[in-house]
Amino acid sequence: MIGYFIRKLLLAVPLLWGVLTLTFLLLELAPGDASDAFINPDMSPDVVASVRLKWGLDRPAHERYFIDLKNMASGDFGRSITLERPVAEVIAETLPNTLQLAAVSLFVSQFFGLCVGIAQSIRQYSRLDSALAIGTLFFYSMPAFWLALMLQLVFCLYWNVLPSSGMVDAVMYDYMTPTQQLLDRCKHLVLPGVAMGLAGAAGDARFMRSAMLEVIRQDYIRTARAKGLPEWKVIGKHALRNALLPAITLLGLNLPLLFSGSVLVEYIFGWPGMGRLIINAIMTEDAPVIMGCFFVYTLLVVVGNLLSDLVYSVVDPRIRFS
Amino acid sequence: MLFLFGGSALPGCSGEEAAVKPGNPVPAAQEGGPLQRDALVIATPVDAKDLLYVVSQTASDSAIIEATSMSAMDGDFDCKITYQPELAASWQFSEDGKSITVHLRDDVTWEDGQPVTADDYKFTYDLVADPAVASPRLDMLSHMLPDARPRVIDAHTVEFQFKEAYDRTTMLSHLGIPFVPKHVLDSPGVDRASLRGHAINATAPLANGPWRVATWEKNARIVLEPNPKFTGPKSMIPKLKRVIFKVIPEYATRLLELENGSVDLMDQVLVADADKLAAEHPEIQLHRRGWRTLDSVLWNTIDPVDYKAKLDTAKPGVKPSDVKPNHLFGDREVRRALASAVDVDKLIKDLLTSQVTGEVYGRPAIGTITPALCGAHNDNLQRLPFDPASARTQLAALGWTDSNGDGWLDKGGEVMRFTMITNAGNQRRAKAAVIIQSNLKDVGVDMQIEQLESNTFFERLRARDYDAALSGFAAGLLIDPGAFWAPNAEFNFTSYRNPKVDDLIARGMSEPDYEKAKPIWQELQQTIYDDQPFAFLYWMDDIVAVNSRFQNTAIDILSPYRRLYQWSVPVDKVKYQQ
Repeated sequence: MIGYFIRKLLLAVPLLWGVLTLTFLLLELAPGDASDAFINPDMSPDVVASVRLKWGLDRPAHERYFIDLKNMASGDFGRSITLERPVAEVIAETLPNTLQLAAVSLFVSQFFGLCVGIAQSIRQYSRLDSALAIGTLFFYSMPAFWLALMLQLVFCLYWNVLPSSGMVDAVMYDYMTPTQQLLDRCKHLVLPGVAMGLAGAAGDARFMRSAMLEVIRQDYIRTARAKGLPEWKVIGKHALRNALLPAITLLGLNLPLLFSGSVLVEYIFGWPGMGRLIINAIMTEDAPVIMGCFFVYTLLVVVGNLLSDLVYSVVDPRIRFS
Repeated sequence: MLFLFGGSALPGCSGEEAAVKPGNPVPAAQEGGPLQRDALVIATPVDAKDLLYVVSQTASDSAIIEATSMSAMDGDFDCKITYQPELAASWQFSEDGKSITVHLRDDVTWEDGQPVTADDYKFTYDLVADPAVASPRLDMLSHMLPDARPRVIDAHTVEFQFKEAYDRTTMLSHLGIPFVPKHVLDSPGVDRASLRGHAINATAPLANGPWRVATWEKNARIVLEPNPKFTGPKSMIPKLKRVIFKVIPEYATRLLELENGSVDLMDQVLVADADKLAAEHPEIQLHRRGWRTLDSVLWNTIDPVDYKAKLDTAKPGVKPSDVKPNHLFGDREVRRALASAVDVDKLIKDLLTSQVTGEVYGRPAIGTITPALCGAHNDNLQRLPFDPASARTQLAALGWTDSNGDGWLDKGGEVMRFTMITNAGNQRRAKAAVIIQSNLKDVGVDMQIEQLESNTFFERLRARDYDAALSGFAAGLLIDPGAFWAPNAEFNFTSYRNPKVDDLIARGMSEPDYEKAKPIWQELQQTIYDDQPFAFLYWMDDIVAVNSRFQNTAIDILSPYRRLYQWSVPVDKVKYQQ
């Protein structure tokens, strides 16, 4: 199994190379570069030229490409051109925030997806099934940014029960006890987590419903019922565990969507995560930050998929990696 | 002028008053100072980035620097900027007006206890002058003599010497700056080329003003609290306990938090939202800041293809005069005819007028000098009337007629057709573009609209790679038309050139007496308006919404939140007791 994971990690190398190359090419195709941030009517062109020289922006593209690749390979993300701070330091500030949000939205997505999918499958063709099918389709079709704005309108303006931006209460946080601070942080996670996770939950529910229906028709479920097992045990222990495998596949597939979705949701909810870092970096064409962020995203997706492989073997002992 | 190119222990977004025990103590009011209470929460779309004056660039940077640093001088605005003493106790011009002696206060210290001295003042200019720093303020040194920018006379006196005397307000603007701490930054361990990454700029600024940065959570919030080491004038001791800059990029979220009370102040409120706030939120006051931003259509007077070809083949520094004129907008009469075809009043009525109260937040523009600069702005200039019939006649006289009856003007087989670029993401400009398109269609001109991502848009302007562009500018309050109208200025995006304009700019800029310069600037506006390198559209007022519990607010054309130390809340209206 260890050999399997090492092989998978090695396969990530060409993937990372591909992502970085594509990112570099896209940045090259975009007009201008990071030195544009220094251009204004009061700035001497000589200073702008010296900025380009300092950051190597005057070098040919292929030279910069190989320098970037070499640096990345040695774990050096370089320095942000606009912030003049190490990219690793800037990412380290924002990555935990994005991971928190991703974890909550993953939970929302998987938990609600499973619950709704199971409810639909055990009440197939009932009114509940139809209502949930319409509901899931509704949320599945709704863009995350629109859902975010609607959630804010309802929970922050009309009912005024949840915070609409930031990770903590901007005014009161400094006066709270540690427990209150923890609760405050949780409270701030609710809306962005739901906005990011709900569309995924809707998709997961439809997937889960099919998987459960497939399993419920199997002979061993009929046998379990014939043995006189209570229905919750039949569903919870016998059917669910077998239906979970496709859900775990979804977990791995959902990760890239979560990270890309975080860009918009972080913007709307003022969440200081990597999504906003990327937006700012793209606006200022800060290439080292953009490359660093995509490197980390890719790595996270690779690791996420490995973890879902690991969970496979836990949920289904028949699966062995070799 | 700058280019534009933005109850329970756990109170939620309600911002409701919370009855919790104070956790971290905040500095008590200073001895003999006022009782400090309540907090002001300001919604800002972008976080501050650089808190050292010499490298700062954004409005967010300036707001924090202004609060935490004393400047040599403090500006006021009433038709023009006037300067009051702040860190500078006094100053005198020499008889020939070419040097200024500045006497600094001797009682101001940095947060770490070190005194603020003339050496800090001089060191600030040394950093600006150093190309390694890449300071955006470099231009302010262009008139100063290199060995006297400034010359330190004693610990609290400096002398600036200038190559020539020019507008005194502009001269003082180059002196009235915040300082940087020499004792921290002038050491071998500090790499000037990486100054932006230094902690004092990027994470932990050093204050000498009434406020200090207590917390800076990147892209989330900056908390200011009264500087306990502040030794400046007592009148500058803050009356509020805290000022919190809350970073909320999304406009809709900022507005929502203003409505539910989570934030107390936001600027750049849209006209439609101002109506809603006025109708539904009596606790929110709306302030108008004055005419700072301008939308215009830029006509490229040179041929973009020829310009690029000459750039590719010729030596660097190709001049606009070497390039073929634009096939449409190289002709002044075409530009004037098109200006007559655009209904500016309709643009203002549709885009900048309240549909409820009828209040108008826009006014027609006739140049790049803001109407706020009364006297310098040419109020008597007669605008070209909106007259489509006359526009058609003028174009016909130039040979542009609808010869085949297809509805579009043509000349020698070429249809009068062009593309106007604009930046995506600005709803007002997108609507304006459609109205202009419709206006031009009425006179037979086929204008296509192309919305570009902001960076791409800016690059196209810089490369003169466009025919027409709908763009915005933020007006400076110090008149400096050379940056935009001088023949080879990088920001002269239309490549406009007129020797008379060059002469007027030179005369205006070298006139020390503002009163004498006014007629020069008025003539400049008339000359440029006659040539129509821009179809000047409208000036816009910035609307600032602020909770009415705050008193002594300073909201004006200089800033949506100035002199935060004087803001206060009456005791019976305090919202945050902590």
